[in-house]
Amino acid sequence: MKILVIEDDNSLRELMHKALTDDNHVVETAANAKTAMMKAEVYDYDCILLDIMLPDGNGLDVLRQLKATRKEAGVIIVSAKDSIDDKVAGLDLGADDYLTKPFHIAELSARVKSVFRRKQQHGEHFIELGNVRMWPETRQVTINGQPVELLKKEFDILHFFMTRPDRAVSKGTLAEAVWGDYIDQADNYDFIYAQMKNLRKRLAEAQADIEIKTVHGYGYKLERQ
Amino acid sequence: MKLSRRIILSVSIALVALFALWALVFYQSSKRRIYSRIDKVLVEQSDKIIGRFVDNDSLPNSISGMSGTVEFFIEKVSPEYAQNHQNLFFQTHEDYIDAIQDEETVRELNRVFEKQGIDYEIVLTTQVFAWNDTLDFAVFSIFTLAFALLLAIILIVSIIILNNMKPVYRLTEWLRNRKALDAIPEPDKRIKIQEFKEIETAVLEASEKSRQVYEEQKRFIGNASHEIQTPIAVCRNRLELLVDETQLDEHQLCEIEKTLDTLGYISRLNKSLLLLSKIDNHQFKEEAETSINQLVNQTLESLSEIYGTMQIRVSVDDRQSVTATMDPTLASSLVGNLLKNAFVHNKQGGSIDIILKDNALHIGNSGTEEPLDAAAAFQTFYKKGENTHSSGLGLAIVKAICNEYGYKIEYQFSENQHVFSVMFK
Repeated sequence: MKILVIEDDNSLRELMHKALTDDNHVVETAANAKTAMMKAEVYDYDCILLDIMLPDGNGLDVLRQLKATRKEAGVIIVSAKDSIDDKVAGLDLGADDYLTKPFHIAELSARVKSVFRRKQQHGEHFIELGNVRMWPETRQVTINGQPVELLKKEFDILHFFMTRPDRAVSKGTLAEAVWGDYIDQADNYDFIYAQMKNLRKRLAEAQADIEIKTVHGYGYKLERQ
Repeated sequence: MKLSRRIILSVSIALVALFALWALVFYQSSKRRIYSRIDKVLVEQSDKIIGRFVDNDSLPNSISGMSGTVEFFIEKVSPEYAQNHQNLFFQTHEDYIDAIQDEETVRELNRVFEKQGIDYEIVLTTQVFAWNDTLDFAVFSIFTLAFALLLAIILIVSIIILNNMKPVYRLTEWLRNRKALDAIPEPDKRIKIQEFKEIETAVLEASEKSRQVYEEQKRFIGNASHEIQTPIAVCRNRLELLVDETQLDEHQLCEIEKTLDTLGYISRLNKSLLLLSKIDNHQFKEEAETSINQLVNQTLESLSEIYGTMQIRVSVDDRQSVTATMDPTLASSLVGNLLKNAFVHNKQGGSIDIILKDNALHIGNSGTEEPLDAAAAFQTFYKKGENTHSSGLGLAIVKAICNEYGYKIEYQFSENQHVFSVMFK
């Protein structure tokens, strides 16, 4: 996939470039709105990551121009602004997703994949990894073609890892993603173990060829067997 | 005390005192002058009568004087009495007057004289009522005038003050209802008084200054919070890439995980500050009927899982349904922070009792044995005990949300439970 990263912060731009290149994408970068528009008009991209706060203009204006050129690129807005208004404004202008800073590398990778998937699958929203297939909207899972019943949190954890295979995820990141806002004052992550134990048991019982492995001292990682 | 009342009262007291004093002086001096004239008449009449008496002329029964008749009689007196009463002697007293059948004030002259070696005393009396009446009327007139003057002053002062104070009252009203970001109005042209104009100018200038400072501060907090997010993202992502790409041992991974946790904490702290400033700026405008019961139960589900190892007994009395019309984000923040607070500051094997009743939410939790400082608990960064994971912003956010919607929030310590209650309107 060919991706354009529009971000004014050098360090973050470099990191996003590196992370996405590691995911086997072809990545180009732009540090301001002018360069971004120039590149976007000349080349075709599958996905554009767009920072809203740019030194020479509002990212939303760039988005408007992009949409006016009728390019097929999926757009993910990357912004430090977390307000609903900004999100709605961005999505109304035709952005496909909205990623709030500070984000995790795994999250970035997952969102890009999701945009790509939507473009490829033309409306059928499922994620497939090995013999496991899941439909996030209807919260269904099949393993080897057989439906599997998962509890709410188990499904959320599996969904989280299915979108970030082969990336180590820290316990804190997982907890924040699945348990949301309430997590910020938890003393320990014991509560993850119980859920993880059950989920692993269900995956093993259904003979899934993916496995959530423990990264000792850090967290977990989903791997294909 | 209102200025108008103050002026009217002061003027009234001064005026009444002044008029009373003046009336007293006027009365006394008038009376002295009247009596001196009467006395002169009495002396003149006595001269005439004594003259006639000495000449053995016939005497009339009475003589008509200035203010009516002068009555007199002459009688012999002893030489000792005459010796002791050489001077003219005037006195005033009440006397019964046949003509009007009433007591009246009379002026009396006692004068001793001699006729052919025999001592006589003549006593002349005349009424002074006509004079007194005139004097009384004069004093009455003075007081009437004083009263009328007083009424006129009160009226005029009231009208002047009311007219000129109206813009000042309007200014006070505006100042009282003013919100930090309200636009500053144009100076009121109806203000005619120099001092009031100066007050208005000072108030408007101070308000504009505070508005600017507030706006500046708001912008600063917003920008600072946003700007911090990017470096946090960079740190976090560098560490994550390090984990993904490098073979690290367990100890190194453990350290990185802890660092990531701290970064997450900074990020959340930053978001909480941003939320707090947004609430204070009234940036949450959406309103929806929100079921507090539902929010409590949803939040409890997650929290019970997260704090499962603490084995806290949770009881919910949600027989009554409580709803609030507010921004859904703020509603979930309000309930979330209060419930989280009850878990975080609890103890192993403790308890949480939640009651939804009479449009209020009461959350009681066990924890420290002594009550919190109720006033300080809602301030930002208030921390009690050694809970390092508490940001100290949760209750401040709760308080800000309650202020925004005018809900009452209370803290009580009863039966070893810390109880927070929110009264929804």
